[in-house]
Amino acid sequence: MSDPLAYLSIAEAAAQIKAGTLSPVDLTEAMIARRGTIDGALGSFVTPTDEVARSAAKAAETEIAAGRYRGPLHGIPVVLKEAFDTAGIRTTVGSKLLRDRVPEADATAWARLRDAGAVLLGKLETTEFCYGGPSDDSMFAPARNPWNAECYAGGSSSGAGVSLASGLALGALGTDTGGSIRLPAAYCGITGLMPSNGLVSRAGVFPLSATLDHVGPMARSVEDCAILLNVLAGYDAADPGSVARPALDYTADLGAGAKGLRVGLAGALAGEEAVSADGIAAYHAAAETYRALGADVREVDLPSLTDFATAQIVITLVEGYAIHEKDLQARRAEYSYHSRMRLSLGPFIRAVDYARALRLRDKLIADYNAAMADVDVVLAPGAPGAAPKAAGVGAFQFFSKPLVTMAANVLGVPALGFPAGMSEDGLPLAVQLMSKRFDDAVVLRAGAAFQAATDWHKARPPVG
Amino acid sequence: MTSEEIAQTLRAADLTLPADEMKTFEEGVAILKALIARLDDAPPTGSSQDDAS
Repeated sequence: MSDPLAYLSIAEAAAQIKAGTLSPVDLTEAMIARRGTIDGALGSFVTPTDEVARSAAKAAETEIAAGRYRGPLHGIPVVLKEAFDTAGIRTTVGSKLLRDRVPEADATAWARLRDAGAVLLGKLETTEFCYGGPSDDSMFAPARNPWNAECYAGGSSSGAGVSLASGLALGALGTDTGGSIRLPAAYCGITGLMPSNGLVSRAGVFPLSATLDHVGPMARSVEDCAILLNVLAGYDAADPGSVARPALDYTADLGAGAKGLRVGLAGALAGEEAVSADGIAAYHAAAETYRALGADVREVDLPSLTDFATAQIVITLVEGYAIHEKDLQARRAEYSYHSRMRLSLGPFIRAVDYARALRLRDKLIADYNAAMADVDVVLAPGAPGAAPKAAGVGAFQFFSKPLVTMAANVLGVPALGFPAGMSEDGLPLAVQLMSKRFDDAVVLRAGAAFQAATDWHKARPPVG
Repeated sequence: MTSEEIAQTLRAADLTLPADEMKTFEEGVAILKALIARLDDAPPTGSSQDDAS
């Protein structure tokens, strides 16, 4: 942690850039140099974009000096999961099938950051097609967890979790269909937001499930996620699932604290069959933190995690198979082991099963909305526990042991994952907050209150 | 499902799995079918996503 710029927050860097005390060029060069020093052992970047970054940083510096400051992302170095299209920059989605794919246009979410003046440092490792992994036979080797190289970094936004935890960028974009933002956030010790369904455009992002896919920000603090969301949120006609909503400042309530906030405890999502003992302990400790902050903490009656997982797994497999059917038939050997094993389950789901899964989703949403009448947010474990050994993650592990993150995807509600403890082995533990659809500002307020009272999000891995 | 039924389903879908992957794949099918069995009991409801508050 010798580099003084490595762990600057977006908020801190933006204030210094705006004041003229920090050069976007110097910040970008520091990030590029740090990547060259430590990412060889981590493997979070698959396509660095040094010259693109240098050009953007120089342009930002010139504009700001001329009085044309665009806002808090102007001159801020960011990174993208390799599922986001970038014009002229290779985007393989972690797959050998797309090894030579170079998009002609930017994904909407990246275009929004780009137009706000963000500086693209590069594209990051993702588990194949946002569903595989961790597989050594993917297009790129899995990024390694900076807390313990033998441990899984989480997926599928693996590279984003690793690069942020390692001080290689200030913010990132990830995607989340069953936990792909929140799991790497949990395993790497950073903060990630899966926004409400429809709030952030998915146009130009390689799909897995049209029903359950989400795009969201990843960073090292709730405040930085809110800053990113301010730019990301907005209607986009290019995404059929996009919803027009009034523009909000998601940073406005970050200082409002947790006093009076009604926090529901999601006991149904925190069973020992799905979450480790230390993960549950971190969850209970977080509840105590909210009580100490003056929140009204109470139990909330939610549907079972298995019901959420059933809907998530069936819907994802059918919609994913619809995308991959032809390639699985003709180019099966080019898929990584985990991807081809999982996606090949598609033909084993009948049309009536898919219809019933959608019907179950409707019921879960109705039950959840009823339960949320008495609370503002729901607190739940953020992952099954600390990061497991990567070699032990089986092809069907998250089918047999449902992920606590899957509930929010089925519901389409905002879910904020953030660090809330440390295991005996020195690995991060996490919790997540969910709220009602489009109450993204509420989970951000609650998460910011937690991070104002604790230091778990400030823990850094031993990467230099 | 039996191994033969699984093989038939794969053939019908024009998918081919190598023999050394079949045992693990059959375990995945069993897990999936256990989840799908839960769907039989899901009661009918109207769409509520648009009404989510």
